[in-house]
Order: sequence, then structure tokens, then C-alpha cells
Amino acid sequence: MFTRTPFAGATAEKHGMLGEHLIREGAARAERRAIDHGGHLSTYGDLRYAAIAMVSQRGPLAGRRVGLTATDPSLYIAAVASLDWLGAHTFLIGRRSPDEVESIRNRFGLEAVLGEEMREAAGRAATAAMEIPPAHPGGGRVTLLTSGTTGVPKAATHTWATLGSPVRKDPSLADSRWLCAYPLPLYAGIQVFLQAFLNWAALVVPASFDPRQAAATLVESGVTHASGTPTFWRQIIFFGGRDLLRRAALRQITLGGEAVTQDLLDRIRSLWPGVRIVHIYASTELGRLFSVTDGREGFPVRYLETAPEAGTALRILDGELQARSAHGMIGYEQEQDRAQDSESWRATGDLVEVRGDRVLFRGRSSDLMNVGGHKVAPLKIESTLRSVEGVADLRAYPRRSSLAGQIVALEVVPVPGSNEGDLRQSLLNAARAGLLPHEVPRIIEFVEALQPNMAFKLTRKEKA
Amino acid sequence: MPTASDVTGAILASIRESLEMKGITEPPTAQTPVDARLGLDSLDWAAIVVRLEGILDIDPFEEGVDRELKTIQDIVGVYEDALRRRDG
Repeated sequence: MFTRTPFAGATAEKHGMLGEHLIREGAARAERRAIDHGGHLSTYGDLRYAAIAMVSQRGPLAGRRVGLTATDPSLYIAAVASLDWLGAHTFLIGRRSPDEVESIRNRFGLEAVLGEEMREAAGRAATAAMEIPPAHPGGGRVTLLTSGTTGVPKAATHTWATLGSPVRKDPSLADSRWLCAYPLPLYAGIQVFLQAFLNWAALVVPASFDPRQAAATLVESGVTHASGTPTFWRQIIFFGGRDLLRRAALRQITLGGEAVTQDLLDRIRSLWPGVRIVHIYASTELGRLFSVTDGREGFPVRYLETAPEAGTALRILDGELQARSAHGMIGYEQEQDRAQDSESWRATGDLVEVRGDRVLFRGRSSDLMNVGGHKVAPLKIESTLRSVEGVADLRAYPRRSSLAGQIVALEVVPVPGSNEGDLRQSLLNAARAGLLPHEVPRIIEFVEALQPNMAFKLTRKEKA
Repeated sequence: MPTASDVTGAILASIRESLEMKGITEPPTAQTPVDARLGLDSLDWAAIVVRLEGILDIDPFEEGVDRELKTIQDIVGVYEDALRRRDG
């Protein structure tokens, strides 16, 4: 159920911003480091050559709807720039099963899907004559698929220009190195990529998000700015090795994608006292809404009166944060998603509560449990229990119950060397002191690690 | 099919886990009454049933149980009957 021209009223760019940037302007920055992926380095010249080679060989894709599954960072970036140059409408599919890719291809009427085989096209660049084919008009359109864990992903269409609009451009950033601990095709990954790319800085993509590997990458790659979910930062702080982490030359740590809690902000501050800590609030549909840098959880209540970014507005309706955005998508790709979409205010799905001068996050509305008729927010349980001595990380989630609808279960990652019996008792004592009886976990399991989803966020879904 | 003593053992262990979570260390027996004096609330019983489903792969309460449950032995009986119906 899609139409070929869903956004007739939206203004198309004359030429794609991304292709222009790399293919035209990149010629003068060929020697600059662009990518550090697990120690494998590429320059802007390498990316530019690969992009030109792809443009030369993929001419028939001009103006088409094209999916991209390639995940190697250099290949991915050369591909998005070349598709932009060709005036293609790019669908960022990322790493998915062949069945999912096929279903996405059919659902959105994609005329081609490009994957890792693009490497061959890119590799031929070295011998090809470097004549740059002309740019096609109408570039700049790019569709992101939401990371939502329930059902079919929603497809939100942006332009590279609107995606890049929150990026701070500053010549002094050209020597910065940006660690991206998000998958590149998701909104947060695109923000980190564009922040590095549009400043001719280096993008550092760890070979894996394993905490020890990511910690080693922070140090060995000389990362100055690092961005990841709170779940990523919790894991790296507890399991990355403190002595190693202290050696990192970080100037800025950015958190996004999940609610940031005070305990995590405090742990980051104590490990890296001088570093600037930024919490970004954004979504695939709304784009970036605001950031918070004062080291406190939540955001200032005055943002409800005057949002910090022009064109952005925030309000609370029935306990849920709603927003209007200057950096939002053009629209959903599919008819049924567009039908539910109001033009002005958009629900964020985040429950909030005003406490004094602060608006605090209380979890996702879709994560609410129903325990014997009571609504229970997993985030409240997690925030209450996470500071218990001996807890490295935890998540609260529902277990289906014939007697109560759902009951609260808890998965706990203990700090190495903790006594599980004592920890269980401390958790229960803290739960009874700080939670209502139906919020107290009735099932507690100890695990070695929590399993984040593909966006490296914790889910509160019942285990399969 | 689990034996009668497997079923009794699993039920006692699951109840003991919920009791210990409440700081009640006195071990239950099959004759222990399951009224309020035991110290477990309705959500504790819900958790016991969820845990037992993980062990015995059955939840007799899904279809409803209409007999009176006075002691832990009565609960054992509910599970044994359900397992017998399932496994023949």
C-alpha cells in the first residue's frame, strides 16, 4: 500500500547534499582520515573514489527506489553518497535476514537492493579513469526504518539535508574522532556519521559492541567524541576495564535512544571528570528535539514553555510527551502509517512526570505492564533498583501469568564477585522500601549480560 | 511424565523460593495450609505458578481450578491431575 509520489508537496533538493559533499568537495580533503573500522583506515579520498566508481557503474539506478543492506562503514558511506548523486531514493535496510529484506523490497516497491557485493564495484575504482558522471536532480531522499521491536517497522522518509540540519559545523572539529556505537542505518547512527562526515572528521566504528572491544577502540583509535545508548555506556563502564577507560582522550560523551538515569550520569562523571556529557533526545520520525548538558536526568521544565531549538515545541498530554519538530521527517512511506499521523503534534511514546524544575522520563508507554489490574512502568522499577550495591545492570519485564495477567520479573547482571543470595535480598529490601507492592519483582534471575536489541537498546519484552 | 515426588518437590521448592524472598525461612511441607498465615500474597502465588510452568511445562490455572485449595498437598493434586490429563 504505497504510492510512488507520496510527498508531492515536499520540496526536492536540486542535487543531493551528501553526494555533493563527498564527490565534489571531497576532492580537496582526499588525505583526511574518514573511517576507522576495527583499525582498518579509509580516507575521504578512498570513499570518494569508491563513490565515483559506484556512480559510474550504477547509472541505471538514477532516480530509482534503492535499498541498501551493506553494513561495512566505508562501503555504506560511499554507497549512500553515490545513490544521492544519482538522484535515487535510498532505503536504509541495514543488517536483516534475507526474508526480511525480501519483504521490505516488496512492501516498498524497491527496484534494487545493494549489499556487500558493492565492494567489487568500489574496488575497480583504482584502475578506472576518474571521470565524474554528472549529478542527477532530485537526490537527497532517504527512508529510515524504525527499530521498533513490535511487528512491521515503520518507514520514515527524510532528506539528507533535514537529517543533517542539527549537525554543528565547526572547522575546529575537523581533527575530532567520533565513535559511533549505533548501527549506521538507524537515526542515531546517521547523526553521528553526519556529525563526523560534514566536518571532515573521522568516524570510528568498533568491530563489535562488546564492552572490552569498544573500550579498547576508545583508547587505541584516539576517540574524542563518543556516542551510544545508555545501555552501551553502562556495559562499557562495568565491563570495559576502568584503568583502560581512564586513558581515553574523550572530550564529549553523547547518550541517546533511551532514557538517561542519574546513576549513569554520575558514573560517567566520576570516571571522566572533565568530559562534556550530552543527552540527545530524538526519534526517527521527529528527528532531534533537544539536548541536555547539565549533568542531571530529565530536562528543564522551561523547555515546555520555550523549546531550545527554533521550530521545535514540547507539551505533555495525559502523561505523555508530545512534540513538534524542525528536524522531522517529510512523512511516513506507507498509507496506513500516514493515516494515523496528525499534522501538528506527534506523540513520542515517552511517559513523563514533572518534578520541581525538571521533566523526568518514566518509560515507554508501550512498555507498561498490567499487574493484577495495576499499570506498572518497568523504568521506575529499574531506576529504584539499579543503585543497589552489587548491581551492574538490570531490566524489569513482564511474565505472563494466568492468575495476575502479568507479574514483574527482573533480570540482574551482578558486579563480578557479588554474592547472589545477598544481592537478591538487597534488591528485595530496596524494592519493598521504594516501590508499591505490585511493582515489587516476584521473579529474579541472575544473568551474565542483558541482550539489547539491534539498536543497542534494552527491551522490556518477555523472553521468547 | 514427572513422578509424584518430582511434582511435590518442584512445588515445595517454588513456594520456598517465594517465602525466602519475603524473609520467611520456615520450610513448608505438603501439609502446610495455604491461607494468609503462610505469608504469601496473590502475586507471590502468581509467581509460583509461572515458575512451575517453567519446570513442569504446564499451568493448570489457565483453564481455571474450581476445587478448594486448603493445603500445599491440594495444589500438588491439581498439578498431578493436570499432568495426567495431558500425558495420559
